[in-house]
Amino acid sequence: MTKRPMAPMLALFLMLLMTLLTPRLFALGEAGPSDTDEIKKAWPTEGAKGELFHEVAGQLRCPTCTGLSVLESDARFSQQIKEIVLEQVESGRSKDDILKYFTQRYGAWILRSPPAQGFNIVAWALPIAILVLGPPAVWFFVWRRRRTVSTIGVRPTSDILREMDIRLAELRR
Amino acid sequence: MIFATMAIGVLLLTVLLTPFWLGRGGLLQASASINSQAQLLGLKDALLKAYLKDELAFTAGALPARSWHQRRDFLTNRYIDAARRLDFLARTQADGGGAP
Repeated sequence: MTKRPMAPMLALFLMLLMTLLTPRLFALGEAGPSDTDEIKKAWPTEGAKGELFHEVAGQLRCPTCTGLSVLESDARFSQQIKEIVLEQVESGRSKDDILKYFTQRYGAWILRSPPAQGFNIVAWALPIAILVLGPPAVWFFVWRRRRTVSTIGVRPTSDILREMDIRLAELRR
Repeated sequence: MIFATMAIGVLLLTVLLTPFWLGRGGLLQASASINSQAQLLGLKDALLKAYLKDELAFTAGALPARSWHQRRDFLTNRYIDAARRLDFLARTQADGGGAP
């Protein structure tokens, strides 16, 4: 019986296993069981206060999650922040006042959208600038390269086709 | 299993690439790989002769219109490739540089 090489099969199996397991490992890292084992509290959803609560909580960043607001998160820290937001909403404070309160305590970092002032304006302006200036820049560089290439003694296609027609006419005679 | 896969792969690649070397009159060879001006001039002549031969076959009814149009486009494109390569080589030689 011939001996079959096992290394490629083993490598393939390990790659498959890693592909299947990696997302799960990352998912465990993002939200540990100790963060989510709290009993979910019922947050207000209706009325002006409910809307204000949702609006403010949706703009605050969950510190222990990735890309989630405290509204979407059930982590312990997010629950605490939501309780403070609810207290402030019920005491009649405005949205700006509540956001200012959190910004003073935690810094502008706590906001999911950085305020468009100071250095943070770069975060707003840069994507727009890339979107607006990117295509003309790419076009300009490609166009310049094409112009450079076409000048290395190579005739335009129309000239070559004209030459081909002339030579074909000569050969037909 | 892996050897069978490799064998099929090599066979497929050979079948796909063979025309680039064994085409009629070597016409399928990419002009960009030719560094001889004499060879390019010969290629241009061969392309023109093939063009006239196919044109004659088409007018005589021996070649269907669709095939003729395909051949005509193919030979024209190859002629353009060869002419461009020749221009480039002539220019680089005039500048004192060798072909890349």
